[in-house]
Amino acid sequence: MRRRPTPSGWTTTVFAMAPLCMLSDSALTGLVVAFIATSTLLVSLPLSKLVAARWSALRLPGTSLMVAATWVSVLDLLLHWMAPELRGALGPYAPLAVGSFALLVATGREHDPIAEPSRAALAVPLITGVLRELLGTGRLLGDLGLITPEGGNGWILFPSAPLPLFTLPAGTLLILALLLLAPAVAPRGAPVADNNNT
Amino acid sequence: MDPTAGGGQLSTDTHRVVALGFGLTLAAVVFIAQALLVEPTRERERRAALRELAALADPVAFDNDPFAAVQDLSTRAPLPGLNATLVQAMPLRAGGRQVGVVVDARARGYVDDVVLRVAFATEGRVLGTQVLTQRETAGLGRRLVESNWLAQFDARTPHSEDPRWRVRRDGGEVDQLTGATTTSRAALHALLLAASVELTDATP
Repeated sequence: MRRRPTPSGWTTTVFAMAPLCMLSDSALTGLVVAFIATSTLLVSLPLSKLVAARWSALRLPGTSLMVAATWVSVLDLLLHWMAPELRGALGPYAPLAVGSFALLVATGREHDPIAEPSRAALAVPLITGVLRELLGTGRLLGDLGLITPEGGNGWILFPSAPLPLFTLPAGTLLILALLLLAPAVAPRGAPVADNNNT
Repeated sequence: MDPTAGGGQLSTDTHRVVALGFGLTLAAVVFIAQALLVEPTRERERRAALRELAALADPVAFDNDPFAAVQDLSTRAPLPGLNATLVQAMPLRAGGRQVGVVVDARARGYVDDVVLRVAFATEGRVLGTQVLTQRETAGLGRRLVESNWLAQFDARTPHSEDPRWRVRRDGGEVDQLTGATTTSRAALHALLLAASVELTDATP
């Protein structure tokens, strides 16, 4: 028998990333969101562990959340300063990463508190961003103008937008639903789908 | 809280002080980052907005700061026959002489208001148009932004009384975007209303 995953492993991980994935409708913004989510995990978990080891008073679940909130706030300020257009494309909701962080930590805690959620935080926004831009506009990296003055049109892979629906937030949910199905069709070694637990 | 928690060496009060101090330290980090970055960010955004305005008004060059001379026009009565309202106007000056005006106007589109920014030369000729905000449908009304439909008005002088300055659906001679008549009409009405602003209106 295969190893049973944490109660809501893959499903909750995908759901945790849903609000963030809705912010990013392109490969570029997907990459930024993936960076925000992953770095939040990689910074706040070790740091909160470190301070908890030094001061026992900080052995609280809230410690890692406070560090995550600080990190995300500073990242948002830096992004606003370095690439205002890019930050404008993401909207004011990038700090939502804290909410995703809380869910990812809660679901990944049992056997692997950092590696598995970090992989998901990196992969899920990147995959949805690439697919949304590809299916929604027919091109890739078409919004480089957000960070460089030259910009350009990116790689045009389809002459016309195949499915404009994917540029809307609802398109994200369709892709996430497909990602939820992934474990059911994936070969051995991938996380087992949740309905095995019921 | 149990005073023996955390190894039994720290009293409850010490716990509270440590937790509070940690929270305040993190808050201070955010506060300092904000204090350091707020001015450079504002300056960058101001310069980017000026660059954008210069591209809009091209080839007319200006040397004043239009954003420092914004005039609110939102209380203006709308023109009859135009379903649009004015937002604001900014004068473009070169060497103290007025060379143009930039007008923002809004009109109800299919989903929400479409806000248009139009730069005019002194004689009322359109220098450039830009959609400031819109929430139109992807693939239909959003082509207002993605296609070069608005570029057809460049170098022309709009006349709101001229019946030819209406979309074809309304009996005019302006081709509407296919499948997005409401959006096209909104943009055209905003443009026509913006053109009604006199040059001196933008002078404080």
